[in-house]
Amino acid sequence: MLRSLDLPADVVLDLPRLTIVGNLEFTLENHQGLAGFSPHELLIITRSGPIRLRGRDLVIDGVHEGEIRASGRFASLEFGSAEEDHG
Amino acid sequence: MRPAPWRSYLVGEIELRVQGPGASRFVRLCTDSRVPVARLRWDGDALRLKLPPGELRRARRLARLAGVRVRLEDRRGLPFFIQGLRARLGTVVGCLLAALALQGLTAVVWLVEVRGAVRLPQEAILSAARAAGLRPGRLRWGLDLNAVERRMLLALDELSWVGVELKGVVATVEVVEKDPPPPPPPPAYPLELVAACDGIVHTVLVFRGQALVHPGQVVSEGQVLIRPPPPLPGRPPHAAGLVRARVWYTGEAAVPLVGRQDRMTGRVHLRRSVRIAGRVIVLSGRRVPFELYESCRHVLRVGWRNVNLPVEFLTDAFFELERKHRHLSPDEAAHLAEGLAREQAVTLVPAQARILSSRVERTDLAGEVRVSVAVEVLEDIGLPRQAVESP
Repeated sequence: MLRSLDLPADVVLDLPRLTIVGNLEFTLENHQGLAGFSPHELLIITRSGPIRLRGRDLVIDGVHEGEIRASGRFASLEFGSAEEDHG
Repeated sequence: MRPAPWRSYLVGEIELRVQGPGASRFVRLCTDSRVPVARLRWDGDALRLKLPPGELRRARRLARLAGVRVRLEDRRGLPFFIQGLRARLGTVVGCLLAALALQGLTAVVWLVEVRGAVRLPQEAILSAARAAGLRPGRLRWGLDLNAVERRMLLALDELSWVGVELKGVVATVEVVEKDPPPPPPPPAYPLELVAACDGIVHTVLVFRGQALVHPGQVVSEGQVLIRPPPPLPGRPPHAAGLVRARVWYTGEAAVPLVGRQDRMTGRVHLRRSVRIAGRVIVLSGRRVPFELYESCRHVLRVGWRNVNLPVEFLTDAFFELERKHRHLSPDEAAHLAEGLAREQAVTLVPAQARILSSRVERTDLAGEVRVSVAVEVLEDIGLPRQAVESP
């Protein structure tokens, strides 16, 4: 249905929109909150499940109105399921 | 949406250091409560973050809930800058007063200079400039330089062009004088040639008129040399010709046998001072430790590009002199005296004259030697003068 109507999924299903510049900059829109933060890990809750960003020297540049921006040296990005988040 | 850096500066920004096991919870609470935190990073076991100053109270309340200690580390931005200025009101007022004083001092014309004047005295030009509105102490603002130029040109008939340039606090008046008027037409009355000085006639060449002297004749000053010709229609009765004569010019000088000579010892004393608006304030070296000295001054003007401040740094250098008495032999004194006397005699010789010979006479007196030098030259001694008797 989404494909046939050519509608953006993030708007219709209220899903997060993620932008990464290389392994240095990370921007996540439409999140549900910050679950954890350490110099090596950033855990963000979204409607589609938790998003885990791993790396070193992680810095949260800003948290505003449904947007989180972070920078550092990213090593991996992991998406969890919605059940895992709620469980 | 990320706030612009200028907005952070205008609103201000504080940095907090959060310490305790609940630091992550504190961050969660902040994001849930929509506290606009930024630049979150770990510094050892503490978390550092930035937020607007207005959110500090809310952040402290959330810190109590999370069980962490919060310490204010840094404050930046315009509100804190203004707060700092209020605390240093004296400095701010001083800076403002200094800027105002500087502005006031540089808003005035301090000096009016004249360039290009050859025949016209500088005082006349400065007086005309004063009358046209340009004088030391006049405010620079509202000074119409074109009007000053026009008024000066009208006031001084001797000038063909006037240019006024204002550079910093110095106004320069540049003038171009008119060419001198042509020589007056020859007079209608008869002219004769008379001797300009005493001499012995060497050559007589008559163009117009009648010669009254001959070669070898001794003539005295004012004696008629060539009489004017009889008047002819359309031609003034003017005597013309060339009368060359041998003329003597003398110079005298006396040199004492004990001479005085000042010599630099090599010791230098420096005096540094500053001149502000005409007043000199000595900074160092007020007293000169030498009895006998020569001095020179170096002036450093303060300015940048075409902005000159009314402040000058002066450095006076005093060179110590040592006075020595020199004993001369009679011959050495005579030699020196001859040089001086010859120089004196030669300065009297007209430019077009040719030197033929010179004669030196020496007189030895008690304690000094006197020398007289007579220079013999060949020169044109004819001088036009209104004829006393008509031809």
